[in-house]
Amino acid sequence: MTHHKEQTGREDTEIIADIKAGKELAVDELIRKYQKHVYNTAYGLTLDYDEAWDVSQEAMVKLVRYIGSFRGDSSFWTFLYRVIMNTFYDHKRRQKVRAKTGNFTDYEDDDDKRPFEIKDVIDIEQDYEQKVLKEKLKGALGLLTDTQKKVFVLKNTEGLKIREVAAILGISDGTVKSHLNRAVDKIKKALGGADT
Amino acid sequence: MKKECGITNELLVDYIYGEITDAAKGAEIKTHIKTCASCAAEIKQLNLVKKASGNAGINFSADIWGVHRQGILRKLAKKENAFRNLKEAFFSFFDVKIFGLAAVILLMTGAGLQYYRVLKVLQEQKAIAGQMELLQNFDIIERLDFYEKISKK
Repeated sequence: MTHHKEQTGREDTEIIADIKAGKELAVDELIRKYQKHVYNTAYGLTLDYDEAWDVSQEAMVKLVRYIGSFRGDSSFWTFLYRVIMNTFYDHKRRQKVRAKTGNFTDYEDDDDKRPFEIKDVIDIEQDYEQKVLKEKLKGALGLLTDTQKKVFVLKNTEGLKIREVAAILGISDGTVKSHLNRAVDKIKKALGGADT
Repeated sequence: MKKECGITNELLVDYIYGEITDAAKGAEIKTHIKTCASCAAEIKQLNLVKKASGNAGINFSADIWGVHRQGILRKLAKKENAFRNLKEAFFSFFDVKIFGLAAVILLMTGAGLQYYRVLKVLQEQKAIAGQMELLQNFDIIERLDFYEKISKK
């Protein structure tokens, strides 16, 4: 996966081995190495700064807790994306349950109040035109099914190959292509007004 | 969807995302787009979609990332503590002394209940046997009355 080359420092395998050996500093090292990427992927899925904050934190927690089950059969990135996608799925499911039951008290992030508003501290490395498009995309992403959204983000935002997306989501290449085409078609129609 | 030129939208999606492995096919599409207005318009739209959903490039200052990281570590500790408490509760419940005592109490209660049930069944059988004896006696008396009546005739 091409976009991984920007990562520096120790090899993932060394950090993971240290975590498995119980070295707490390695946990901090892994979080530092991936938190920005995980946040941006979560933002691609949620298009909401606060939701991305919660989903990315939860994904990192799962990543560390389940790192023991990573045997190196697939690449670490495949493992990481699977964790993010599962966390996103859980997040959406919890949202649906809360919307149905009207229970807003048992959300585990309630005790993790931030002393700032994310929109006040954010630094977005993108131009004005892309910001406008992003706003339009928010509405468009709402039209996609969860699987279409996952496929779209992994393919479009993360730049993965069809076969890589298929491996992460556990579906066939053909199904990925089908979801991608439907997603692109819906978003293209929704963004139609932006093409001036 | 196939257009008049014969190029499908799916193929253009593959092209824009670099999924066409056949170099000759890729070059053919590239040339085609320059001459086909319909495909050129489609590619323009697809580029727009790609640009809109490209990596957001969101960044925070080091201290904000620090808050993010602390939140992760706090949640991690919370989960680990919850797991540890559950584990400790499980093992303390199955502590040898408590487990032994619980097993003895359970065994004695079971045995007591069984003894009571057997006793009850025996009492019921005794009562039934008594009633049966009474009925047999009535039967004998009735027969004697019958024979007595016959003999008088």
